[in-house]
Amino acid sequence: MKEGSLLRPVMATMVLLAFSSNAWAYLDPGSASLILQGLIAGLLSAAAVTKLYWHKLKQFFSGKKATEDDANKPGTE
Amino acid sequence: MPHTQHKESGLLWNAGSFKDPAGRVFERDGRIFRTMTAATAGTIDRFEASGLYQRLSDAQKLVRHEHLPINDDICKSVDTVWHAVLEHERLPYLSYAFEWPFSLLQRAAVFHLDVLLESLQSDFTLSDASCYNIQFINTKPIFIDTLSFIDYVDNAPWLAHKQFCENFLNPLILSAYTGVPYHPWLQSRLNGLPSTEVASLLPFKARLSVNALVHVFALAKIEGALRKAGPTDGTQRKNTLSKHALVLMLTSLRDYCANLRNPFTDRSIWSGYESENSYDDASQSQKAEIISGFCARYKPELLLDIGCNTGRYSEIALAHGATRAIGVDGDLNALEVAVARADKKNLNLLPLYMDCTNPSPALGWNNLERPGFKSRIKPDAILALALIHHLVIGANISMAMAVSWLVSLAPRGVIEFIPKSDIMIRNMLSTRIDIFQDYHIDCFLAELRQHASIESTITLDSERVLVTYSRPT
Repeated sequence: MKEGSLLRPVMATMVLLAFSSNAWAYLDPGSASLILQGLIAGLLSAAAVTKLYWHKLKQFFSGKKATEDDANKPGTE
Repeated sequence: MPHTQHKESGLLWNAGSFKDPAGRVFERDGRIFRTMTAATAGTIDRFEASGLYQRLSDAQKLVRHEHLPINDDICKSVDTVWHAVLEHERLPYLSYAFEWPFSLLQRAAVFHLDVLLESLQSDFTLSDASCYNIQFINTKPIFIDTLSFIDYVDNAPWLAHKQFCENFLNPLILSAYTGVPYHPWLQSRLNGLPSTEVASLLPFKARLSVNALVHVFALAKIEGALRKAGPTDGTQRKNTLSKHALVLMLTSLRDYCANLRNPFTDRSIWSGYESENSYDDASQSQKAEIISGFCARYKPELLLDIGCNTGRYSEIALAHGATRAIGVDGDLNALEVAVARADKKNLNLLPLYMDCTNPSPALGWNNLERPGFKSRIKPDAILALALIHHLVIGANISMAMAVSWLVSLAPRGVIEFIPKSDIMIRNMLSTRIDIFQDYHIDCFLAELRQHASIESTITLDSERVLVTYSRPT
């Protein structure tokens, strides 16, 4: 395979990826709005991650507590 | 309707359609057309293929269009730079956001977001969020910018967010929290109200909502900071917002807009208005009879009710022969009652906010972009009930000028003259010197005769006089 035949499609893809805004949109979205949406995206994903790990955290602690209590309960075995 | 570039072929390019290079609107022989580039035509094809166009237009949420065949006369008369032409259904009239009562701007905001959310389900989005992309037919919003629908790019942020905030959210939130009408400001600021300015006017309690905090205050803070920071090096920002996050944000904002408190409605919306007149019931029914008779006889296609108040007489007119009515009034509270009336009784009525001593002017680029009230709305008949004393006595407009203006609006109409002996006028004059020598029934009729023929003059029990006029078109 010649090196040159790959270069064009690769370059085209890189150019496409660099401009994530829609080519047909004529409007100026405003930098502030884009920054804000970036923050929202960040917050929402942080919230989603927190929600996921909170659940795992709770599970972890409630699981551990259960085994300790079982061990300490008199006369259950 | 103002246009530019009048070509020999008879095409009239719409002076308000120029910002989006994807297409432009023009008129010919009273028909409305829209040109498209090849790329845009491709988008429209996908828009139709997805079924989204059908769903929206069937639900009357989007104006219908037809594709013109390539060999059509109209297509041949446009420049070859345009790839295709659509023909649109014509709307009965045009109104603008700064004329809509609060509930209608609120309705338009929610409508915009609902259309956007529906579009996202079909992998489309809206390229902009201008309040001029929405029109009202009666009190129902309809989307008119077909070319706003573009392909949704995965994880692209909401590029129209800023415009939505400036056009819809900021005016609504300003009025909701301060009670001050947004209309004069929105009329002057065609691109909408800037977040920084609105944020500085809102009371503290506006910050108690997450949506306000994010879409007004945070946005304003960032805008302010960027302005202070000065120009950047101009590199393109790479921004991503997942579709899921976008939908969450839009849904939350939509609900927030829908729940904003309307400062112009009374809790008991009907109270206080029906009994505001100094009439007796007999006079009211006489008036109703005259108006019904007028409408039954002349069947106006579009009736303009000037000083419509709660829309009571528009309702009567519509029930007796008028096809559509636009009511204008300077009282935002009364207009909310009119909107409620139009909703509840499914009337062909659109209540609009306007000071008739200062009607909506021509605005925008070269003052042609957004035509003024008189060039946009051309009624077949007018109702000017309990109005003329507000012009002559209330606004110091001479009887000659007031009558001349009224008659210029439509070839037929019913005008009510209230004599000085009436309690309403006595109240108006109680704090002023009576300089209104021309405010007299004889002077009124004399002025009217200068411009029109008087069809009938009926004196009600209350001594008010209802005059019907007509003049050549």
